[in-house]
Amino acid sequence: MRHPLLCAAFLLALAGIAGCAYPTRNEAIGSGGGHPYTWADPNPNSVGEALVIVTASGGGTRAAALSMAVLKTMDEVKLASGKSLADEIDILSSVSGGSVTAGYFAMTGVAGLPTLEANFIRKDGMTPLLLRGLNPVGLAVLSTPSVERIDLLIDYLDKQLFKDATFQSLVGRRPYLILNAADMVEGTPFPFTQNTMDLLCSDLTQMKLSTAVAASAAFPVALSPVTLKNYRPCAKRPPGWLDPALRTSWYLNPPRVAWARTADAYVKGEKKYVHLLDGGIADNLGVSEPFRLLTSDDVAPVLTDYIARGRIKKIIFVMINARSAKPSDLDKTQETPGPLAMLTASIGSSIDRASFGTAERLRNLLQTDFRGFANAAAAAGQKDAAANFRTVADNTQFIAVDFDSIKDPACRQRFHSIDTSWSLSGTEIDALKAMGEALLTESHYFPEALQMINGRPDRPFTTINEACALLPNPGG
Amino acid sequence: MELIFVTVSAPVGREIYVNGIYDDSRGQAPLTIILHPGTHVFEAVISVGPDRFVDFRGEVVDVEADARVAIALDPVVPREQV
Repeated sequence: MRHPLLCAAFLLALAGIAGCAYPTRNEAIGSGGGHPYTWADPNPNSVGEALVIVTASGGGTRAAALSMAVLKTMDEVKLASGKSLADEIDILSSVSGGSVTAGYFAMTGVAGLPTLEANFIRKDGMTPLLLRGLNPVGLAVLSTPSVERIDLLIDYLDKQLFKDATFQSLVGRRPYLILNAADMVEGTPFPFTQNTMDLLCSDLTQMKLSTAVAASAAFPVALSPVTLKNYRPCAKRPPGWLDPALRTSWYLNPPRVAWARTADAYVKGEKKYVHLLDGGIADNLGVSEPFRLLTSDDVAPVLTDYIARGRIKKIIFVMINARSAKPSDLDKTQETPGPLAMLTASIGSSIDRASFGTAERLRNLLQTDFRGFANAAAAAGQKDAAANFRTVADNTQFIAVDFDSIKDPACRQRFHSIDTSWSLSGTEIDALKAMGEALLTESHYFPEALQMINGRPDRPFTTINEACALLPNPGG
Repeated sequence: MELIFVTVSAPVGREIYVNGIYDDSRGQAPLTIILHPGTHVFEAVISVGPDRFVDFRGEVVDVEADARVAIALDPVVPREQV
């Protein structure tokens, strides 16, 4: 050994450089070897061929608590089979704060909700993130590429809830989970499904749930994006729907063509990396992928076909919206807002309003379009399909769990004003739990949904007025 | 949102798949498949062990809303692995 100290220094430098590589968040297809994570056929089930979809919006712990309350309440609706309505949820799609609840519920079911509440919802999630990131050692670690600000959230989620579990743990379980982030460059939704990951030649089962939840909740600037590697070109063929979708005239089906063009950029390998931020940038309600499942011919399950052939006869769609609408002092003064105020206002308002269009299209689909499909099928001589579309049109309940439905303006504003944060007070959490239960069960369409599936409540539910009383006026 | 109606007349008795979604058969030909306007590919497949091969294929191009179209799939020779 001629220069042992030089050798040692060289090896240390190599180790240091290796430690400076960006983290790999996703694995290539074929690396796992197990069953892919896909949707399980909903039919038959114990609620008479009913498709039950729940979507959970973003909004930090406010959204996590509201969603938890709704799922808990659905578990208290019992069916003739002995199961609960929560057991019959087929699709659970979520964004940001809603994704913490959705991810944990998909992993553990109703039995996990007390742990979700104790280990996350009632915890101060902000202080650990700030302390870990802002101490000298933390700052030094964050200055290396191998650890990013988003890792603070990923590690916290694993420590408190997910314990490094991957999507592999969801294979064969219900509901089918769709966590939604947003492609930072495209501004489009990025649902964590194997259909999407196929575009990158990546295996979803190898991805940690905490990584996908964190991507869904990566609030711009405050957190760094989750960056996925595109493994194309690879041996796996592009999906079969891509070519016909690209060859479709844009005028005939603009959403189909738009999604196909984004997908094509992934498949061609032009996008070597995909940077993902909070799904709320594109859709803060988490409804875009369920809407696509209900309307697209390019993705399994082909729900329109299931409906046309009578495999689905009823739909219950619960849309949980924990939107914030906190009054701002910016418009009370002529003073020019500063850069930080401009940035947070533009991000926040974009996130809060981005979903309105898709939600309205969904509402139209569920409340109007199926009837139009029935008429079109009848005109085309497809009597069975016409009857099946009509059956679904007559047996669809769209239940919006939304602070906007609170009649008392003062109470409504108090709930809208709960901070978007990972740290809420015990009073706020108690009020959100009560309000989630009340908004679901006092919905105009809830009794009809119960009747549709022969469900019966296990107990009397909290009312909206009772929930309002749990969140007093600030200073009152 | 609008619909189109595509009747696939052949190959008779074979399960028909649309747009490369091989997990969900649309039924056996002859059948009428209800889709949304646009371009769609129809295939029949056979399995050889773990492998899947397309042996019949046809397509409709830019079909507009409310249209009724009839096609018969053509043999794919040699069959293509998918």
